[in-house]
Amino acid sequence: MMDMISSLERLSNAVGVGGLTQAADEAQSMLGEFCDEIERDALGNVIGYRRCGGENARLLLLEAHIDEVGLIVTDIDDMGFIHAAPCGGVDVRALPAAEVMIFGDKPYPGVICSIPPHLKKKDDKDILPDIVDMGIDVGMNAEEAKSHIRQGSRISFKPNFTALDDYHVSGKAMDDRAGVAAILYCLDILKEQQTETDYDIAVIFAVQEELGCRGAAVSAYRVSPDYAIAVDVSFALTPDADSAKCGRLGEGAMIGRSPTLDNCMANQLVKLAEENDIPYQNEVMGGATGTDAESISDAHAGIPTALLSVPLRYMHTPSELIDIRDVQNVGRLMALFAEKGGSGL
Amino acid sequence: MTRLKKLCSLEGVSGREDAVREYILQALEASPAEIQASTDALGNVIAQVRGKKRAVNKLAFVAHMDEVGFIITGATDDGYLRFATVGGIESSVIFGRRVRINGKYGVVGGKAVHQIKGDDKKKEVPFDKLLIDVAAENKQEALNIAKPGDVAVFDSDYAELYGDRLKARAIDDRAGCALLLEMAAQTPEYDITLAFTVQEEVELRGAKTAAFQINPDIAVIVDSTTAADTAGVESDKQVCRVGGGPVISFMDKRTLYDIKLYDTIFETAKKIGIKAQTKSMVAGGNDAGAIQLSRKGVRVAAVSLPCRYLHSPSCVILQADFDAALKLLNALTCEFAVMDELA
Repeated sequence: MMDMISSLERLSNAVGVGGLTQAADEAQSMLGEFCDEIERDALGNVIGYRRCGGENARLLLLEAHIDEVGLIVTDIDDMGFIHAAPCGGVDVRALPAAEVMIFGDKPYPGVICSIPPHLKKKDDKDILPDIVDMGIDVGMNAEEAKSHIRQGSRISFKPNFTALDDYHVSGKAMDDRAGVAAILYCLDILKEQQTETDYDIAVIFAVQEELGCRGAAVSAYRVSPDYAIAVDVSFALTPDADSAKCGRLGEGAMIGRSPTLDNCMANQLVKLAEENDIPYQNEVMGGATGTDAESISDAHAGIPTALLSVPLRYMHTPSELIDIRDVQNVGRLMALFAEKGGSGL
Repeated sequence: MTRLKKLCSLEGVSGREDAVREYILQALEASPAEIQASTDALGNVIAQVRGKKRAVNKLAFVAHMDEVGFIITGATDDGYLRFATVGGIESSVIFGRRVRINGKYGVVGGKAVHQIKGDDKKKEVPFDKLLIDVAAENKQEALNIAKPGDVAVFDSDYAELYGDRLKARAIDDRAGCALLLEMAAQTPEYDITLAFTVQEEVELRGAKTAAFQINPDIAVIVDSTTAADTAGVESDKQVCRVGGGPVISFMDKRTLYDIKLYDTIFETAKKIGIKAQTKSMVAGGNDAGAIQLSRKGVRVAAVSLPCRYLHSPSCVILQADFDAALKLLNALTCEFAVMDELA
């Protein structure tokens, strides 16, 4: 079976800030062994197909996004500091003194400037500057910086995958490489068990989710599935958070319930989880989920879509923390759905 | 720079300098110079290095072994470790960082930014809201990983940035330790005493007992100091610049430095053809504060490396500043060892 920790290390250390293809390349090469066909569309979405051999088989889409939050260079100042805008919703509180990689003519390590204590004014003591004013130190003067880095160069957190113990891993871009890994794990189960499925399976690793769920919209249109499961990460409880708005780390796949999600599919996923002793937790949202599920479900004339999430702490920081058992449980649940899901719908 | 790299990889939060001390004792042992090294009750390493010639003035060079970090104060019922900072760490550089603790890892964070409204998204998270997440299920599991009194450091490795810049966690003051070890790697021109002190980050405590024992005529403190030549900081607030050479202090929050030594250092820098700079603000403080007031008083000078993002996981210095500081310190040995008019 797929080794989850090393797979997550490989996936999350690759860089997928909007427009960079390293993570998509890595994920595509890992997807290769499970798919009959793989293609890359105009926006860079990775699309693979696993055919079941049945005639007129219905098509089930498994989707996770491949991009990650990062920054994009807007300016280089006279001292050579790089100024950048967010490319996705990075957590500004985690930026001072953070280590980054700037993808100029090659990758350059850098440090986001932090304000020394002697320059802090009483009145602004706890408000951080705007991201674009923070500046990033790559050790270059203005002339050097301008010759190696340009406006539009992408910036990621420094790849920093680490296992805390046998089950917990931390690093950048677990959002949503955890989802990518869950889909690969599902495909691995189907392959190992030589499971016959009712469905043809399409896999999409979508770009630009962090910029407004854009990649999923065009790739779902292209694939035009009969059913879809989007896999993303969601909030896991921390002591300062509202427990009603969070899942729990290590307590299983989060099954989404929302007006925008297909309720029959959610019911079916719950049933499969209960019948097969797969830990799960309900994630109920009052409206849009803010994930690719919405842009898949309103493609064409509409696609019934479910959302499975991996609980994650410290979202959009360099130290996102997940429990690999949750990733595996999401993968297991999808494999069961692919195998038996059709009957319940 | 393998020596600095090694020193920065060691963990040595104030009061727990053991690994650093062990490395320094080994390095001194390996030197061909004639060195007598000892460790005092607080853990300071004091090394008498015999030079080619006898010094008229008893001359000490001082760098501190300890670094800022975190000390565990307990655990919450849901399995998070509580901590206090050791030394001055800004809360703004802690959020979202990973820490190393007893060979394991933890994460300091809070609820997702998505769950925060309006301007609070940009608000620094205060210390009393910060906890270390070691992925423990409950209090006992957390305490199995770290007990009250155990210490943690930022998880940040040594790396080389563009243009011979060095980035690491504990540059303050392993860079000073590395400079002192370089000085002792060959027989110096005159007898010198090296002091590798403990507990600088908590009120300069090691330096106090070290100075008492050494009883020097002149002490040169070799430390790392805040360079604020960073994005958006006006030149009058930059204090000093990376690339401007070693930083010679006239005054900081703890010490008014000996003016004759101060002038001599700049003259020496000029003579040997290296850049040197001073601090353009009265800020910070170092072991000089304790040493100057030892016994009946000691003449003190500070030669520091300009360091950006001091006390953060990502301290940055420039190789050229390090090299210039080493040249300067060796030249100062010759100047200060025989300097007269020390009434």
